[in-house]
Amino acid sequence: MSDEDNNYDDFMLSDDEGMESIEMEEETEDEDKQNIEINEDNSQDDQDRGAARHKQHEQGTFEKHDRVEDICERIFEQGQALKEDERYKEARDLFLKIYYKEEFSSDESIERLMTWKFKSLIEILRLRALQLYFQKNGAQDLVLQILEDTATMSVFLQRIDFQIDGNIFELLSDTFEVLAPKWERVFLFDIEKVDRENMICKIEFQKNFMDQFQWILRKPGKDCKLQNLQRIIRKKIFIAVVWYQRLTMGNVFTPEISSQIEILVKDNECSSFEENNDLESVSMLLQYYILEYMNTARINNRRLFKKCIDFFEMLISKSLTFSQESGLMVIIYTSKIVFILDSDSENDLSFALMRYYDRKEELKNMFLYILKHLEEMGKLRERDITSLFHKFILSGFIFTSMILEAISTDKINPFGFEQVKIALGSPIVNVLEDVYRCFAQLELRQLNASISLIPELSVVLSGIIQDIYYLAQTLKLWRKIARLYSCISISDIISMLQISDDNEMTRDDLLTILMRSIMKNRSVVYFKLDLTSDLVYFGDENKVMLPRCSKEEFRLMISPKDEETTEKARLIDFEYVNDVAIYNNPTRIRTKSSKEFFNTLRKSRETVKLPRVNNQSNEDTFLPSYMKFSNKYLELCKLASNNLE
Amino acid sequence: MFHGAKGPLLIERIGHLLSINYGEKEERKRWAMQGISYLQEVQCTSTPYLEILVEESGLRPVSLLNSQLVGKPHFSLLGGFDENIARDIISHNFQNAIFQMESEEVPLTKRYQHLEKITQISLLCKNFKGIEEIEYNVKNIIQGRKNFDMLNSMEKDRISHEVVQDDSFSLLRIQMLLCVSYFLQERYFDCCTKFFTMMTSEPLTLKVLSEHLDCMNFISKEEFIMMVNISVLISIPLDNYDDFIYLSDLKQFFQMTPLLVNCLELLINTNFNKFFKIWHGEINKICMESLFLEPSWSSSAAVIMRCKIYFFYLRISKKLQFSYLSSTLGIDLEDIKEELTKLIISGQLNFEIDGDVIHFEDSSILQSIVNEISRNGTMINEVIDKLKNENTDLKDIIQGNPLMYSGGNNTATIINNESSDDMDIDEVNDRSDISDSEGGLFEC
Repeated sequence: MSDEDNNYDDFMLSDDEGMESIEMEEETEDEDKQNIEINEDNSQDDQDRGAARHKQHEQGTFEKHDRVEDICERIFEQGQALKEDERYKEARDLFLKIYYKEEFSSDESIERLMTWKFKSLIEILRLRALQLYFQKNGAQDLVLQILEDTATMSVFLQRIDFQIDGNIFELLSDTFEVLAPKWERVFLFDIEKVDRENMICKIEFQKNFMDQFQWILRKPGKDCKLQNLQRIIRKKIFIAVVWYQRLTMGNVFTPEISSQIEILVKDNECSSFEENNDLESVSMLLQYYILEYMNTARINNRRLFKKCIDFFEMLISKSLTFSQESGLMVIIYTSKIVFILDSDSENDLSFALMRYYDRKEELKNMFLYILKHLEEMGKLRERDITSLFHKFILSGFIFTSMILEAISTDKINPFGFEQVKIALGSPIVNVLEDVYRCFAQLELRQLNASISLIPELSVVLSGIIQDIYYLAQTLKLWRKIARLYSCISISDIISMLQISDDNEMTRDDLLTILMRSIMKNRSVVYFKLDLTSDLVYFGDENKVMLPRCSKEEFRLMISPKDEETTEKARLIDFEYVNDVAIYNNPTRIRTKSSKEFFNTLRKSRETVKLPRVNNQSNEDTFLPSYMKFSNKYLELCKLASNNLE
Repeated sequence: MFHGAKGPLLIERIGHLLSINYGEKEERKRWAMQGISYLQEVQCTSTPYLEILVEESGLRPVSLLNSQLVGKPHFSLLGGFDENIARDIISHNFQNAIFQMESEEVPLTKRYQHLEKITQISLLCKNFKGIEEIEYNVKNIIQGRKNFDMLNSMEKDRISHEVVQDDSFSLLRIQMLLCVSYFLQERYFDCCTKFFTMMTSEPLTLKVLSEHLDCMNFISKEEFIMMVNISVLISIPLDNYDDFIYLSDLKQFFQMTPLLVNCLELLINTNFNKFFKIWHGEINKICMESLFLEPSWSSSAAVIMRCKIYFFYLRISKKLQFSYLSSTLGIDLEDIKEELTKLIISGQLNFEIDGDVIHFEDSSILQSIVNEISRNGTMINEVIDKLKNENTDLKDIIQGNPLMYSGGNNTATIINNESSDDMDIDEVNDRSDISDSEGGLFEC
């Protein structure tokens, strides 16, 4: 028994290494060579170990020398050696030899024989997986052969009914991963530039391959390993269907797919989301949602979308390998951007609690990261930039940079970035340069005209585009209009700030801009409104004191008549004046700590400005404390006038 | 409706709703019946609300007296108070209740719970002086505990964990009641400052608020949060909402109350109409139904918020109309007229009301005095002018008829002679010169 375990371990070991090399070989050819070297080393090791084991056998168990399983083991090892020498045909023949070994049901070692048969079949299936994936078209023969072998495997499995050992499920699912791997370098939402024909072939193969195992889905049983296997089969088949449809018909939003897509991930209350899901299905669902957003600018199931994003982020934060996978990073950043841009995010509490600037900065950074990762993947060549997704990312980056440039002090020209420079000269970048220039010069109508040149983005980026218009209008109001006019009618301002003929700016829109700016004490030029005749007066001469007296005068005026009741009344009046903020000088409180915030507020509530006491005599200045006697003054005056008459 | 109130608080809540005439007649009847049956169960009918309870329930007073129950009322009906004290509270004999509570001897492990009860009663009778004393004590206790913790961090394990936790929960709840006390005194700024200070210094605050406040059968979590929300909206200046909403250490609280964030967002975007829909709708409803919120809400909170917005409009305009404000803000025209007029007068603002139009009119508090003085000035000028004219006339007469006075030399002598009796004329002349130069002062 222990012998077998050892064998199995060895087998798994070489298997793992095989997997690794598959993944790495995807990178570059240089690495490929290195890998081969490594593999050779490994095989050397394997052979050594095999030899050692063989010796052991010879010493210990002579009489069992001709046992079937030992023969199998030897053939298996030979097969593997051949495989490593890339002599696939001969290797396959050897493995088949094991498979065709006669079975004697009376033989007590029948079980072990079956194990060898199973392992051989698995080897046969995986034998040329690599070749399959790196050959372009015309691998039809190979495909057919593998499918044929798969059928054999399927029949064999039905015959033995999973009766081999516990690891059968793992081996099977590993094989699925090898022959129907997940798509990491192509995105469901960006297929305009992929080699469609080649991709369809591969997807078709995956579908046909997985279909051979359909019967497992119908197998009843509560065994969690079986259920897991069923889930993987279902997932692989479904993903292949989605991809096939996307590649052949373009549209994936058919009832057939939309009704099932969310079953990809398991999300129920009794078990945690993290434990029940895997990267492949979550990534698929995220891509589906992104595509949904690109088509409709809406996400239907925001809640699940958020869960998937969190899950993805958690995986990436845990694993260094994932975080270096550009494909995954593109998916996660795009998902996060889409989540923010989705119109429903306005109702999202966590966004309301984030500063406008921070929100835009986050967006800009994510756009930039995506550009960087696309560059790393070699997907930022000029011909790629014509796809909707690339335009979306590039424009998003430029637009958010423009906004940040306008509202902050750091002026960084977005066109200076490496990733944008690559695309300089392409039509989309020409348009973006125009947009950038019009924005800087505050030419609103031209800005609108330039942006309309990329109509395909008007919906997906509508939030950001609206922000740009609003910002441009505000800047024009303060920089161009307010400085020029001392009095102007509201309707005149509106016509000056008009962006296009069909995008009417309302009176309320303008008032909102004005009121918001005064509220934050941010308006460049002071203004007052005449709301009866709809006029705006600009200029500092409109700065006037609203209350008749200063805060201190006011406090002194609420003079108590009898101490007992007014002590309280006075406090409340003063509270009231503070709450309404009659004497408040609007100032921003820039702090992140609530303690400081409230301390500042308290100070401003409690401060009652005292007259400046300098060394000169106060004879000429009117002290607020004289207010107390204002009535007396009045009486004196009246008395004097009576005498004069 | 009663936030699960049992015990004496039930009567208070029912009494409050009935006395502000809240709800439909049928509802009120049901509440009154509920109140009466409670009174019967605790065998105490001396509540000041008795009359209104009987009236609303439509029962004849006789049936009340027929209460046949014997034996002690079930402890769940007492709201955590002793039987006698519960009765004292029901009959608004608060001072007596507090006195009894204070003279009672309590085991050390129960002292904070006991103090909490006393604070509750003090709140019910609006004994703010007493609460101030409690606040002072609590401050010392917390300071003491902190020092103790620092000194004996090792020994802490000996004390049963549960007792310690109960104690800190009670202390936190007492501090929350202090916020309530500020709110009842209409000191909204103090109310929210106190709460947020507490939140940032005591990590358990939000846990207690969300899990261990309702069980006290006093103020509910919903009421308390609403109280803080109202205080925030009222006492933080419009210009600083935008700074407030991004305070990162309050994020957890914001997440508990989307309503506040929603209101703040509307206000920041100057969408006052929508804000008042919430203010007069959802918020008003919760306040009216609450024993603790309604008094301050009706007496000042609701109006202050409106005044705040009126004042903002005054800030940005030279001229505006009541009718415009009314339609923009969605507030009844008559209310606006009354409240805004009051605001302008009591705040002594430089605005004049002229029918439907309010316009800016610069006038200092000294304006009336200045007016009076300048009136006097003109009057004096007039008198001086008159005198001046008389003077010139007189001069002309003298110069035109030099022969009337004998001797040419004499004439000059007489005029130039300072000791002469005619000096008066010159004096007037001099004076009028002065007043001429100073006349500008009055004419400005």
